[in-house]
Amino acid sequence: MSGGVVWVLVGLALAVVTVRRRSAAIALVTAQSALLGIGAFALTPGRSTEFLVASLALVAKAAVLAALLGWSLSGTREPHPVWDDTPPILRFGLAATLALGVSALIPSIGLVERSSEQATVALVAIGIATVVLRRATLFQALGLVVAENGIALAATAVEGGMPLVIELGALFDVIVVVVVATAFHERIFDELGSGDTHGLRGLRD
Amino acid sequence: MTDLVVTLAWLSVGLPVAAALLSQLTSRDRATDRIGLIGAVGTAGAAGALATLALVRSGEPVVSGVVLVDAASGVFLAVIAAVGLLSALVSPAYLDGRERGFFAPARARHWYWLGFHLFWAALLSVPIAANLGVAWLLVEATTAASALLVAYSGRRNALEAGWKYLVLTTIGLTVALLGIVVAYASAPGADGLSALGWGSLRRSASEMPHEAAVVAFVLLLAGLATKIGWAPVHNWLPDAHSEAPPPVSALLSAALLPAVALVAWRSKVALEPAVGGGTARAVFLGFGLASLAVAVPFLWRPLAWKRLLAYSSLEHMGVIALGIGFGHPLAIAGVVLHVAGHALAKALGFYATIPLLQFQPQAALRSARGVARTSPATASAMGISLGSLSGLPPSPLFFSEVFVLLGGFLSGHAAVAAVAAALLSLGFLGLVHALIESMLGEPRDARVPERRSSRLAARLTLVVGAALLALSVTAIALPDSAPVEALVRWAG
Repeated sequence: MSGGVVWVLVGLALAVVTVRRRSAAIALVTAQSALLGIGAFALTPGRSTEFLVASLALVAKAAVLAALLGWSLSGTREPHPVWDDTPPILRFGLAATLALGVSALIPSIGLVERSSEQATVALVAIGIATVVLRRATLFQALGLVVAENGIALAATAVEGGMPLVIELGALFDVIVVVVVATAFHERIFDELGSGDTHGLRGLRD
Repeated sequence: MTDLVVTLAWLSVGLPVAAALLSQLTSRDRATDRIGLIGAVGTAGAAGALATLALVRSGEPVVSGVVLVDAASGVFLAVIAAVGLLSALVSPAYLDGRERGFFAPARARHWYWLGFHLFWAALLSVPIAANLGVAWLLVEATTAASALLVAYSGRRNALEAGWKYLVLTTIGLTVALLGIVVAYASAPGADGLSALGWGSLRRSASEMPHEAAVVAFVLLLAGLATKIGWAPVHNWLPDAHSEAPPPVSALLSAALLPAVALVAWRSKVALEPAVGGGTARAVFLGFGLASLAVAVPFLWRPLAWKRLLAYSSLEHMGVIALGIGFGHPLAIAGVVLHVAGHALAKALGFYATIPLLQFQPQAALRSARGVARTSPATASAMGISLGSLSGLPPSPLFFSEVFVLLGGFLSGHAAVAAVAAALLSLGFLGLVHALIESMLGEPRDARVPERRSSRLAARLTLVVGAALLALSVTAIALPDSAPVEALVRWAG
């Protein structure tokens, strides 16, 4: 995948940490997942049929996740915005610093292009940052998808691609996790009247 | 023989899946329970037979496609089968009287059995996975079903615990998957799923670039540690164990954590030639000591019963990490004994919560008091459980901890073993203190215990107590047994 495309993927992830609206974040993650699928599809000439199937599955994943998250969003309108503890500019700064740091530190890990190696760890780091910095349950679920997109990018940058069983299994797993996450989101919304995880702070020692 | 082993392997996984699906076909709660229980007996029978075969023929591992049955499989399968069966048997006692929860009341029991059997099926398949990639998929598959079970009660705290468990373990497993991608990308000539087979990985590891192999190993272990509950990435563990239904807490602590620890152990064995023995051992010893150091202070605090058991899980997973890290034959025997002894004692402790919370509901939030006066049957279950977990002789955990520590000294890790011994002694004192506090004193808010749940506690105590004693009796012969010798050769 070209260096430009992989850094667009990272840019979209940084936007997810920053934007306020859940609908905008879902659109960004959908765009990221679709771009990843299309980018993988563009690499299929000269590669195996398994790689073609995996790239089509990536495109399908983008559509399925968008539908799932959009449906969950429509049923759980927040009465008030969920304000995060850190302002958007600081979230952006923290996530970007983390991403740059891990990209610079990661040694060669055997992927075809260096840019893919750096972008992979950056996406995983930004996904984790999203989970840590955002309070809304749906944003935390989106953080998981961003991190998983990082792994999918790495899989496309492995010489010949990863085994199809692993690619499809991981895709299936992420969809199941998002289904369970949306079930939790809706149940938490019923309980608290909001998807704000700050309402879930009863367990401390 | 290979055909029989493979058939039993597929039955062990297929039967709980079938039970999960069949339990959805009936509309009556009792019928759902019956299907769940019959499925559990069948599953435990198949998995128990497979474990027995694996242990009896421990010198001849069977590899067929994605199935691997060796001595390690035998030990972990036996534990997961036993805990799964016991958890299924006590489930109806927990489910009776539940009104509101995560799921709509009319179908709540159906969802419970669906999640329970799918979780158990995934757990049983982890020790027999012949491939790192497949093992990862199965570990990830345990997350979805068990997260819903953790939140089953629907209480706010249960939702928090379930959500935290889902998010943190998924993040951890994503990091582990990155480690797998790096290992695959670094393996020379990797072409297809077979390259991630445990044997193939070990063969190709010596040709992997050292730096990339270390990155793969560290990512893999750091990610799996999240699921095993090793400190410092254990944050979900006390919450999930304390909020899940007791039979599920038992499965989480006694079956899930060791099953994932086995994947970490197999990864160590496979990647050690590339990573270097010293680095691989250091990672395990680091996680082991950190887990003990984090757990011990909590064992001294007046915690609610299930939360205390959860921190004890952290301590015991630390002991298992140390045993794997020391790698000495005596330490490996200790790991085997510890996995089995911890599973039985911990499961009994969680099952005792069912009657305990019926007559002392405040024990869900605060430390229990005066249980011996109110319900001697429950007190004996709690006493045997906590006594064993503390390592009080003749508990099998006393012998296993001695084996692990001796293994540490004999393998040249005297400093680590000495620190671990000190921490284990403090943990022992903390748990004995907690045991005395919960048994004696004035019971608070005590109601009359139900006769049925007391009978359940008494029967479980008898069965599990006898099994713990049997483990202690066999402990001395364990280091020279054929399964342990096979494990030592494999880990060697």
